[in-house]
Amino acid sequence: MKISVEGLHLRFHKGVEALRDVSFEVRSGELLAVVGPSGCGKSTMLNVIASLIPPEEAEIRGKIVIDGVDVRQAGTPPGSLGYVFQRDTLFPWRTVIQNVEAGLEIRGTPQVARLKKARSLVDLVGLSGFEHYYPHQISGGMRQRTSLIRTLAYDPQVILMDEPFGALDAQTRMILQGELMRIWAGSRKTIIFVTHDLAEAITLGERVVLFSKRPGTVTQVYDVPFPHPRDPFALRGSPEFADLHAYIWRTLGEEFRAEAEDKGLTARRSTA
Amino acid sequence: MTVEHTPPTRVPFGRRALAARPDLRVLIWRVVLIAGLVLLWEAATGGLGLGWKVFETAILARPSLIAADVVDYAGSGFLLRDMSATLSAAFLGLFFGVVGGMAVGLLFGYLTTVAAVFEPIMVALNSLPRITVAPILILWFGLDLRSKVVLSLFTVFFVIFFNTFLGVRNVDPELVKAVRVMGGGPRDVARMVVIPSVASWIFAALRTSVSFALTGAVVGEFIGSTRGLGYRMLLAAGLLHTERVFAIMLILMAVGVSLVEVSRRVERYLLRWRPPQAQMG
Repeated sequence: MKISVEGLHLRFHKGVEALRDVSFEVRSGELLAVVGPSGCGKSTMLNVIASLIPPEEAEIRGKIVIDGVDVRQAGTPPGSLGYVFQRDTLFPWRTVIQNVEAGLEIRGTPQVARLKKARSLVDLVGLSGFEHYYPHQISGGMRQRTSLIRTLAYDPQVILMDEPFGALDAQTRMILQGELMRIWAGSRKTIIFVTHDLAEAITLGERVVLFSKRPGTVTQVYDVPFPHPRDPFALRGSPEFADLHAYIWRTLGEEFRAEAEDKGLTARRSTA
Repeated sequence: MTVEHTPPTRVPFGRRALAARPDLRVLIWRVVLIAGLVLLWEAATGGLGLGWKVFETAILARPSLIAADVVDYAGSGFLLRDMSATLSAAFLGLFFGVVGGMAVGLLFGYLTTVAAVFEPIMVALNSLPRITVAPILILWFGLDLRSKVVLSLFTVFFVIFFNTFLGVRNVDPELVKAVRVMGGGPRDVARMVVIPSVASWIFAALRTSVSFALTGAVVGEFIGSTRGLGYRMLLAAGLLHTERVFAIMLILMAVGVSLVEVSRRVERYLLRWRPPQAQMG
């Protein structure tokens, strides 16, 4: 599914202007990375796409068109959209497999089919043997894998990801980046992946959209020339990666430095 | 592809969750301690043929005589009658207290303004020592079962009410968002998020509620009654039938321990998805 965001403005009624004239396109089946400093409105933008911001919270102008349908007018068909949040939003009272089945339950899929689908996804990300564990019993990486496959289970055409690996250690994060790309290559979902980590954006994205600091707006769009499938570990070590990173950093760096000065910190990461 | 398998520290379920499960040594010492105390007590009240009577049996009953009295009491048929009166009051009170507390808790949880308006009243009623309403309840509802049920209900109600209320208020908005993104409607949100979340708060209050219900029933019987364990105890105390007083205390202790243990197990089973720290206490 093709997504186009056209001239999106958003101002919260409490006074903060989060987005100013945001426009970009996501090609059908693309893995697009959006990167920008913390608090630049990236997450807000995903929430607008997912229709999670009610009119009483903010004034929104502009269009979001998914496959020719203006979703701000018509809404998205139920279950066509997936959203993986930074904090895993697993149901603590459901086991891994019950969590994965949730979306299918909502759709009324019969139990046998539900279980079969959930099992195959559990295998896909190497969680076999942990199906009947509760979220508090598994590691952060496993919880995010569960979140990811819970989203894949009901087969949405578009997946929004809001710093899903932000809370993981560097190594687990790279492993999960690899898994995400493998899954994406196998399914060709349209994915918007938001992060404040430029290296992560370059590792994953076919293109990288740069956001300015608040009010967020698109400053640049870069093509990332590395062919998929990519191996995050090998890629990070390559000189081409370093060059591109340095090149983009020159632009983005100004935004990040401004943010760091605002907070009196340097190179400190926090949530978007 | 490589997947790091970090097996989580296996969290034990059920009985094994008692991390502080006493080892054999502790168990033996406990038996020794209790047996020692009972023997000392028996001796100090003129038992064991030692002629070492420190306390009058009218003041402190002798354990062997208390045991004999339990048998007497059971044989007379009154024990069954009294126990069924007390337990009926306690369970009816528990039931209505839980249902009422949940209903009002849910209502207030959703109706923010109503909750804010009623808050001082709820806080005031909750701060009122429960026993103090007993005399008026006897006036209103008479000496029979009803007044005990209401007292028991009153003590349980607030525990469940406050937990239900907090449960509704603490529903994780992120989980609600997750259900909505998956295409879920209000019914799915209720089924997958709100009900389990609120239920967990209510289950957590179950153990306290059970012992409150029993206390409410017995106190109600103290104040005015014609049957029940509390009534019988007060009667025995008036007649200086000290063995009977202790016998009833012993019975109430046993009933209380069993009820609390049962509800602890129910709670632990229902809340098995919780991290163990949250289960303790």
